[in-house]
Amino acid sequence: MNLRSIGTRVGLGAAILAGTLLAGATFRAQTSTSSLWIHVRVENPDNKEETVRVNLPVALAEILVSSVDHDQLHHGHINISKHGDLNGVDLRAMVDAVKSAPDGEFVSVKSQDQDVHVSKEKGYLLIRVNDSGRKDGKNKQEVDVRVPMTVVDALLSSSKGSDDLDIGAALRALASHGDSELVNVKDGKETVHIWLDSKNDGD
Amino acid sequence: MLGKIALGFLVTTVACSAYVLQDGFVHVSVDESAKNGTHLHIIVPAELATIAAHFAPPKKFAEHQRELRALLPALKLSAQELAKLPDSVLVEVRDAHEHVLICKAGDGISIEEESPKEHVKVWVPLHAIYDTAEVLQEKAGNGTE
Repeated sequence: MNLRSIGTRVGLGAAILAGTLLAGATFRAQTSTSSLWIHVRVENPDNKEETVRVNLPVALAEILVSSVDHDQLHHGHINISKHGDLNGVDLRAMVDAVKSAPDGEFVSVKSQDQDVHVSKEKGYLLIRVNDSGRKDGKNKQEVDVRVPMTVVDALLSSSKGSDDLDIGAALRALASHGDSELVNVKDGKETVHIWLDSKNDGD
Repeated sequence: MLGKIALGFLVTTVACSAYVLQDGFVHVSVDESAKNGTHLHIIVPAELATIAAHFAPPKKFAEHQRELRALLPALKLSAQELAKLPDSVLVEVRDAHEHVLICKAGDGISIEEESPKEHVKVWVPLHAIYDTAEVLQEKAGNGTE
């Protein structure tokens, strides 16, 4: 038995296997990013006739956001300095600090009628707001936001400064993340659900 | 001689029809619920929209030139991307009185609005949207005033 030929065969076999795996992984990555849809549902639990449904491919949303240069949206970028005073807070530095920190709760604010919690868990930034509303329970509101840290990172990755949000990059990061629950809002009048999956109808 | 004229006429008609048909048709239907309400069903060659875009009034065009320059590239890209999608409901808004539905249907976009007063349905081929946006973008880019 020729050792050299066995080595060559093993090498060739390994190369074919690696090539196949790489092609498979690339194909899987392509299908997972290109076929993801973002879904928005607004429903009124008391009146099933009132609904808003939006189903949009993430790729299309990214193209739309990146190609529009109108009003405050400039090719996928929004400058937030005009919307509110950040009081010198460097969002980029803040996110970097959260990224490098271990999982846990960063912000917890409890008041008489509102609880706010911001935490990091398994690569996700979680924001939970519970507003107890009025004493009779009306206007009660629960907000759950679950954003992958990679998306937050991409959102603040702009080279134009800390107050520039790169929505296009965030959508690209979101697309590479796969199926995700993003936002759940429940209040006395309606529920809002925003999520990501590969179905085009979201049902 | 008459045969040659008829043949020439036939060839011209077929060529013109093929040119119009390649771009498909825009379907518009309006049905009012009132007793003597309007029932309008129009099928227009989509090519007409592109031709009409060439003759957009320069004054009106100049007024909205900035917005058009900003939004037309997005419209073109959207038409291209939508063409790749399977038939899907993109937007649906429903309340007690009204139902609005925007769908990708076949090679086009269907927009439907249903209310107690009327039922309106429009279907536009995506390539007609792309072509029309392209013509308008050329005009906007050239600064046609």
